[in-house]
Amino acid sequence: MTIVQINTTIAQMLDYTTPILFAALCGVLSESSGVVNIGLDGIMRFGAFFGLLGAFMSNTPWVGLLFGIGIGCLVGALHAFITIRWNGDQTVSGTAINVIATGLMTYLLEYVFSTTGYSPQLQNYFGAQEYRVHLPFLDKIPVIGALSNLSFMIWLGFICTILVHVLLYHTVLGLRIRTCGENPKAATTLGINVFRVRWFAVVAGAALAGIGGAALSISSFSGFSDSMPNGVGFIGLAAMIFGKWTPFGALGAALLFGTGQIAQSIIAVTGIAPKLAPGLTLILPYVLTLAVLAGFVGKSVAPAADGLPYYKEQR
Amino acid sequence: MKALEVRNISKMFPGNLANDNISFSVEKGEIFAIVGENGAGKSTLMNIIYGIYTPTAGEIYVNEQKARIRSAEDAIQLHMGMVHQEFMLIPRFTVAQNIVVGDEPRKGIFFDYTRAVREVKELSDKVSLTVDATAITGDLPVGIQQRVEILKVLRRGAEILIFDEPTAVLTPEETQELFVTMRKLQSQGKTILFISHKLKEVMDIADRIAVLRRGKLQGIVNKKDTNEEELARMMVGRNVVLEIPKVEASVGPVAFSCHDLRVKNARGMETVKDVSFDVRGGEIVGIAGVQGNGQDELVNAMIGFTRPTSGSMELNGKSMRLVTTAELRRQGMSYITEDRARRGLVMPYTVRDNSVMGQHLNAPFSKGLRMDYNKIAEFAEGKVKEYDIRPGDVLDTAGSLSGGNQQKLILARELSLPHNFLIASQPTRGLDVGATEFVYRKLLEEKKSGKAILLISLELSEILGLSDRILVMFEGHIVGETTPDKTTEEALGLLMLGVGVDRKVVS
Amino acid sequence: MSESNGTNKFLKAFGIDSQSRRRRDPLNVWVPLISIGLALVVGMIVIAVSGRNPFRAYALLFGDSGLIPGGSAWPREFAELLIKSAMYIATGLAIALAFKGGLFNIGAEGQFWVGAIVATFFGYWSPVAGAFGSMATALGSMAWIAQLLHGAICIILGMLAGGAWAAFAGFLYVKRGVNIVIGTIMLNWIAWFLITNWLVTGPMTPPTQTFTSGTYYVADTAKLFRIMMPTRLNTSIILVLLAAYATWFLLYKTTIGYEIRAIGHTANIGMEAPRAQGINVNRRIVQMMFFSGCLAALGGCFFILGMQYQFPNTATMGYGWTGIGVALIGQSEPIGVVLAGLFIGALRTGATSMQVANIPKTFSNIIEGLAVGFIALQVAVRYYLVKFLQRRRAHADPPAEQEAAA
Repeated sequence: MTIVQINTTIAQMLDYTTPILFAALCGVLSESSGVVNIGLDGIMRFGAFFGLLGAFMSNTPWVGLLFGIGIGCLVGALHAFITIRWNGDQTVSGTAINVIATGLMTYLLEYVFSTTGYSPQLQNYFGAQEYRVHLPFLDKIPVIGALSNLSFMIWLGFICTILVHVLLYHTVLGLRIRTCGENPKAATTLGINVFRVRWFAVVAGAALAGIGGAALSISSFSGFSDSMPNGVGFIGLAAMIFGKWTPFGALGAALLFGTGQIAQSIIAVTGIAPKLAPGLTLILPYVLTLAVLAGFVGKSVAPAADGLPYYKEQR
Repeated sequence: MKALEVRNISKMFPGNLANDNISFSVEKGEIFAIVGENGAGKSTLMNIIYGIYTPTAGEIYVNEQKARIRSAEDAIQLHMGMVHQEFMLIPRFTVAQNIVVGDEPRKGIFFDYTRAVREVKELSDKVSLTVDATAITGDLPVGIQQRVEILKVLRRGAEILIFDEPTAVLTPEETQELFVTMRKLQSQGKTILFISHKLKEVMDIADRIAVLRRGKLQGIVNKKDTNEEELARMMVGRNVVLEIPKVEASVGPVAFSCHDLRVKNARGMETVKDVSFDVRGGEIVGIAGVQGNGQDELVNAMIGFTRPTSGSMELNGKSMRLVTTAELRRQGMSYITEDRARRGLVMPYTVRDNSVMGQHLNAPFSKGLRMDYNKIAEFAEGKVKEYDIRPGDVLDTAGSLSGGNQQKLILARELSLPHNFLIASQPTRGLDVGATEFVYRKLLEEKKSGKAILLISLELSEILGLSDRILVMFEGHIVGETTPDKTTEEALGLLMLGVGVDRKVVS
Repeated sequence: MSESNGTNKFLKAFGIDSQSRRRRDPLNVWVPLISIGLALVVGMIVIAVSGRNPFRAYALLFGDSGLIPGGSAWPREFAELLIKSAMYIATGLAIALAFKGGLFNIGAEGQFWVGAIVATFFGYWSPVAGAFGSMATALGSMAWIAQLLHGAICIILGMLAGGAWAAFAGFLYVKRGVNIVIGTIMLNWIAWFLITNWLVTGPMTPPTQTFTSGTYYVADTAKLFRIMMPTRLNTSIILVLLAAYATWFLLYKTTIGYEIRAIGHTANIGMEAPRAQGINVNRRIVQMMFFSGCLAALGGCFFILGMQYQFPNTATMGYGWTGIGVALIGQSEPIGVVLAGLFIGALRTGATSMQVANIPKTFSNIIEGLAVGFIALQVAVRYYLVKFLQRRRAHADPPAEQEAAA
């Protein structure tokens, strides 16, 4: 194996990791405040289409990124409205988002581009050479060299991981978010507005999921495919759980699962175990998550009030 | 100066006058205790003072100024702080985080954790309450956690501190430490309200004591001028006694017995300590005690919900070790609970469906897998007539019934199961006079037909009226055993409140 | 209420008697209807905003959905409606049953495919297929018996496999505290990838077929009977209606159902009441998940033995997810699930015709998703509905009577 081959493979792996990471970060942020969001697969689908739309209309991927953030916020607001304002069941709301996303994006694809299956391809996307982040001096180094020519989205993923970590563990707002997720009753007695804090966490998290979706259509690939996000949202959910609801944990889990996704090409390149059943690497994220939840691989502890609706004191 | 004064405070809940025209005042720097039995109205009064409830009538004065307290925030503004019985702490957070959250020292949007730690250390030194600001709260012993709650309240500038049953969760050592803390706070000019039903402690720490009984203020005494017996008498007093006819029955074999039983509660504290007793057919054994002295955990162990840590229990001679609830019922145990909503009934289920739960797998209610709802309805209709459950439609949901009728439904169900041992835990809670008399009648019928009955109650008149033998439970021990003719309500009341108890089993 | 004795006796034979006509909260029927209504209205807005004619679109949608008889295309449409609905009802029943027991079996999709793949296997596996093939030849004109038996075996084994897959999730929940939603989602994807990336492209694929095809085809004797030729209609709709009846019977006439519903009602308060009365909650939960998985897997069997006759490479997810909407719209009642399943089946069937009006056929997903969304908002819906009803009543009654009523 040459250095180039190793680095290319790692770069490819990072490409797969990034959408997973964004989805996982969405989950971490939202659930830290106590709101479950299994609709993040659907939000990614929204983000993938609208990201493409923005990039297409403006001929630059930056607008696509903005569109992805924007639509994520909108859909997140919907989820927040249902679950926080009206105490609607969080799982049902998330499912509704997933189902609507499935139908609506196909509809919009046909409406806007008059095609089915695939949108027109982009010239200017983050994966294109002109838009990549070039660090040529790293070229010759093995492993680290993989960072020499990456899409901006991948860097954004790392940055967002750090941002979410700093937010949750070093800011006042983050402390309050976590308080709401652990004990909303205590938070209220301390004068914290649980509803407002949760709104923020849900919408901000959804924005991240929107970016993750956009990462698929304007970075990893150069267009929107009607099968996006191909269940990546659920892998992200698994990564969040496996990463123990922390941002850096989510990063580690996403890297692990991203590796699993491209295990086939790794096998092809390195020639190891060519007879390995193809499905096994794909199911790795889910099996690991189950193992963790069942307590076989250390304890994974969700925020204490995760998923429980919060009712303003009823006297 | 009067730090706090309440005038003519009354609070009416539907069907229940929780506070009835209460007036008193607390001087600055005093430790003022409020005592009373369960249901006396102490918590309601505190919630009114702290703004969680609004009074139906009356006024509150803080520092001799009239105050309108509509929320906890208002109370905090008036420099009041409440240390709840259930801590408002996040186990995962450090002490410093728990103390400052909501009022964090900041650098812009960033949480200045170093300053938080420093502030906590300073505060802790100032009031001489040592805590490790960087320790994880969940790992700390309960007594220290309480200290964190106190510091939290002090940090927001509390001058009047309200403690709601603070020693309920503490060991004796931790209780002493708490009292040291309280005296320190007192010397720093803080005023303390202390709610409890533990007379020994109240006599230890308080300056003045107010006694509440059934929503009314019985009196206020100085500690120097009183003692536990007098307090107990004021708390217990003379209640309306229902005339319960004496029923004789021949005593049969032992239906239930336990030896040296020890049970832990959900928090891991041992709340039943070395309890031994037995119950024979044809007798009613009454366990008297204030709520929270281990009765709930004892019952949980008896019905198979929790495993005792040590000791043994036997039902009709057979060991109850590792036996399921279903099996216990099959072997003859019935259970009347006071927790109707969670444990007694499935509220969305109809009267009909609830009436046979526990024997629904037996004929004639089911044959194999097939339920016969017609037969069940017949059965339910019979029970509705027999127990006068209103309204009389068996297809009404249990949730739509009044509390009294729900209790009757539970009784109907439990007494119709084949059984020879009945656990009746607060069977008349929330019932009016008529329903209460009905329950007593049924229990006496059970006794006459040779059933063994264990009655657990907070009402002394009930215990005295029904029991053949009386056991008193205090802090997990059986501290007294007697019979109704050998004792009085006052004597029982004293035992229940721990007066004259040497922490030794008295027989 | 006087009904003929004959009708009553007939219904009684199936367990439907006066005792079982329970008091129902009338709002329970209105909430799904209003949710669907609102969803359809929003759908019209979406169409109108994108410059198409919503009325024409809806005319095509419902006209060609198979619900409205008449026209030469109707038999075919009706067949499509029933074929699709059968699968949605199956997964809908699965999820509804789980809801009754207090759990959200969101992984019905995975159980569906487990049933499908197992049915496929026993449909083509030579020892089994060969045996029934010989039996068919031997029986001559009674060959349908062989088809009946072979089909039954494939379906039963498929259902058992799906049931086991779901029961495993139930076991993880009961014994290890693994949240059911997450657990079934994970098992969902495990099943999907193992099936589509390994079994279907590997061991179960005939070596001579091209890569894009899928597994072996099942034997003729494994296929479901066709009815109403020359349409594609098969017996799946009949089987699923029987399954719906069986589910209803299980829930409302058996001891198992009695306990399951008691558990479901007390699921958010720790299930203390059933436990105190001696019900073995853990065992019932696992059993309930098993039955739930069986129902979802039945749908999978329909997919293979009724439509595809093999497990195709091109299979896509959707039946299980749709089942969630069906269960929610049907308010978890078997009869409601049947009606909701038919409705969604109608939407899907008619949606193909909407393409004439330039609307992609996934429009029905949008309506579904919106309906689910409005059901999630049911607290809001109920709140406004109650307010609306109160205002109507205030207009109807003069104030004096209102005082007396209060």
